[in-house]
Amino acid sequence: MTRRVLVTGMGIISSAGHGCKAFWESLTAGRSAVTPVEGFDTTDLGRNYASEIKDFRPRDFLTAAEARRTGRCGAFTLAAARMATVDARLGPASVPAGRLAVIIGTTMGEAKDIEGLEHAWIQKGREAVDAKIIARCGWSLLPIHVARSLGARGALLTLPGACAAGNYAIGLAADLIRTGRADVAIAGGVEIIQQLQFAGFARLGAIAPERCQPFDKNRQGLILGEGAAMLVLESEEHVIERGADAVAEFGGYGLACDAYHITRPHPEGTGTVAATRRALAEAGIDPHEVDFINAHGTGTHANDVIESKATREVFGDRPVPMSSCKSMIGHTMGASSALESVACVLTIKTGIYPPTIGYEVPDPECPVAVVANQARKGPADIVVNNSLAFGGYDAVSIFAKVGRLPPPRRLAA
Amino acid sequence: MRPLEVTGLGIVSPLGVGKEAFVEGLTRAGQGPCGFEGPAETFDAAAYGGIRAAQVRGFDAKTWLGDKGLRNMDRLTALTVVATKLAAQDAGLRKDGHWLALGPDRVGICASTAYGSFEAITELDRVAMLENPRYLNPAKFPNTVINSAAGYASIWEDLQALNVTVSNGNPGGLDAVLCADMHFACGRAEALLVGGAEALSEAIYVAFHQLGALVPNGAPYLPGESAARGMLLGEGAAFAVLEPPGGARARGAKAFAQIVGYGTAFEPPSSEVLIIHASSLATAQAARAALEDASMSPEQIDVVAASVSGYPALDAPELAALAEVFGPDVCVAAPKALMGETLGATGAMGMAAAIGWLGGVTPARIVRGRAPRETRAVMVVALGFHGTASAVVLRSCARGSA
Amino acid sequence: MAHDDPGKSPTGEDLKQEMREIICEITELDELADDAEFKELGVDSMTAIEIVSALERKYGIQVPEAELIQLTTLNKSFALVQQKLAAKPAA
Repeated sequence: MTRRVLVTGMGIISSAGHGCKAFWESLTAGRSAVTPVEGFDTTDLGRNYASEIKDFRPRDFLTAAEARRTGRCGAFTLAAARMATVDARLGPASVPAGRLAVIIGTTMGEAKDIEGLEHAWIQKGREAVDAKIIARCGWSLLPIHVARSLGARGALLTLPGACAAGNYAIGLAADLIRTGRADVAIAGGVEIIQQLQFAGFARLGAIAPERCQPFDKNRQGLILGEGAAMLVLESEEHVIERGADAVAEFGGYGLACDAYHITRPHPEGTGTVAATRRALAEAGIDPHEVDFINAHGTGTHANDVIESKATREVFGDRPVPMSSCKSMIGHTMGASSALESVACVLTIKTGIYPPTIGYEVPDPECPVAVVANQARKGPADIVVNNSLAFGGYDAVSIFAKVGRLPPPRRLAA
Repeated sequence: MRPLEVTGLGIVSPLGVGKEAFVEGLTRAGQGPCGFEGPAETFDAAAYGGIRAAQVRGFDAKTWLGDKGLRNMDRLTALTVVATKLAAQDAGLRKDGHWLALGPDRVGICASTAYGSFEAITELDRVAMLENPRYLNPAKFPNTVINSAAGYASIWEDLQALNVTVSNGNPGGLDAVLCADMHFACGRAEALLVGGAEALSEAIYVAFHQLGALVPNGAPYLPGESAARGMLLGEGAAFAVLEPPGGARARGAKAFAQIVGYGTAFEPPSSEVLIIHASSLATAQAARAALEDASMSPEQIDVVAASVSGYPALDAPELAALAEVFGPDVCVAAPKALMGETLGATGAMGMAAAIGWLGGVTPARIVRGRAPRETRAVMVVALGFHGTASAVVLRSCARGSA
Repeated sequence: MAHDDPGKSPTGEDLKQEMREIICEITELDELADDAEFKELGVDSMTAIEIVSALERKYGIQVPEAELIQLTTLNKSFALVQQKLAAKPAA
């Protein structure tokens, strides 16, 4: 069995705005959402900028009961998922509950709740640790929150794939549909910023002072961000059957693991090259058919050099337009590839490449065709989404205009 | 699902480290107390009145991994790396750090952990809160990321095909089988190390204590029995090497069991205010879905490796569901009576026990029914704390036709 | 464990010896000569960050990013730590 997997809805909570419209307006205008950190104390860390979400009110999206049983991470997740199902016009009657799966990627889940519990324990002792908060901390709860509220009873999975988690989740959701284990899936990624992560990245020397400048010669590192993005994925038959509109096709994905170092990418980018080639093969396309690459582009020295090298290795000398949303919304870790998946689909829908802002001095070590500082129009039939996480977890996915890709590859019997 | 072949098992558990030691421990467990209980070792048990736990006693990663490169390795990573190393070795894929069969591009890992390394999170939180966030050790920061243990396993064992961590509570170890099945179906690997790990940390102990879920000190640990009074926390790691149909034969290896079915289900709590919830309905649905996926009937299952943990509010709905699906006489065994509540490793530990039973060990710690004369098919069940349940069916290769 | 009271920090050769032990533990080296280049001993950037971080914590000092490049040998690290300790306000 094998089936086409289509995207029928998207929802997003981001520092560039909530909902696809606000998000895309901000990205295509090249606006930076990077601001001084307000959520916690950064004194002594030497860094004070991030892409925080400062205007999120859970009750704008959640019922009172939902808001009580979720932490900030769960609330982001549910808000984005609900938005995605509205966008897909997916109601309780649209799909049998058992055929609806929910797959969520994240890194640290309810990190703020956990931090609060640890504070209480370390400073006041174990009796100060609040059982009500413990109960809502588990990583497994993220898809369960969505399933409870939106009526899913199929496979519910949390996949912590570090900074590639969103692509892992979207990819597995597509697998479930392709193999016939589900007809519809809500899939994406979520992450919140919290002090320990910020301090950890800062002490690793990975955070830039004020801005993230992917592929620029003078780039100084990444900027952390937060957010959630959810996609509704659906089998082609199901889309036709319920008369829904598909905005794009999910063509497939490629996974690889560098198995090299827990923070540094492999110097030759072997995993990245392998994951990209696997993704292209799964989608049944050649490198020359790719119109645009939504880069991982963290703005760290190592990532951008290796990603450029791998891009040249796979795509040759043809300058495939390439851009990193992280220059505007920061690196949202486990959510990043999900937010960027939304951007990929919007590129296909509108024919616009979002820019890489702060791109001032080309780096000979990053010989790629960066869409510099201003959005522009261009062919957008097939778009690649790179995510190359710390630990060498590479996940590269492909989105395409509906009807553009060859029939999907047959699955193993 | 297409039957997946089990060609290797690597395990670090209170019953023993390595397949042989584990099978021996599993056999001994049927003949008397297995002696895994004792004061917690990985934190100061005395500070909590000598709290008991099912730990891998005296575990030292150096025995298996040598002296170098272990300085920043937390316990979860150590358990995971040792278990994956033993699994790859047992399957004849690797030996002494070299590949014997397949190769790095075609072998990957699907690992479950429910809570990752709270040891690392707490260590850094203590420095950040009591001293200054500036002073946290950056080399330990990657350990706080929940999938880092599997990441280190990939580095130690050179697993490059793919690296997936599932953090899905107790069913995660079984849900890792679903992930593996998907990746095989899409041709992304020729062998996958599938299982899970959980390490006992002080933070996990404090959390479950505050939830009121633990067996009181001094009370016997009786998962699945009516006198049960709570969970006893455990730890360990188990990874099976799975290969798609025909994979073992193609490389001249021997499969010693098959995974033939998977099912999962979810039922939300009846009240909007509840979060913790054990669902009898979801358990029954997951069990039935796994049977259907395996094209098997309930009568064909010889033993159910249940998820029962000693916490009555979780055990009762599970046992009721199993009686409903299989009838009152089915043999239900409680692996947690031997290995403690291992959370995200529950499914992996259950599968390891099933592999032992299918290999001829008489099931022990039976809480319902009687041990079969011969074990040819086992269902492993895992209940989540929020209304989910998953189930996997394993059968022996020797007699059962694929 | 909080960093030691700076007033009680060792000085001179004792300080250098203590730093040598800290660095050897992190690098898993059995010995470390005063002027041996860390890079040539196989110390990668992650380990270098770990060394700086451990020294900062131990002595309650802060080494700004721009000064990190000075920490290439034990002797140079020792000089920098001494200078930071001297510049610290009395506790």
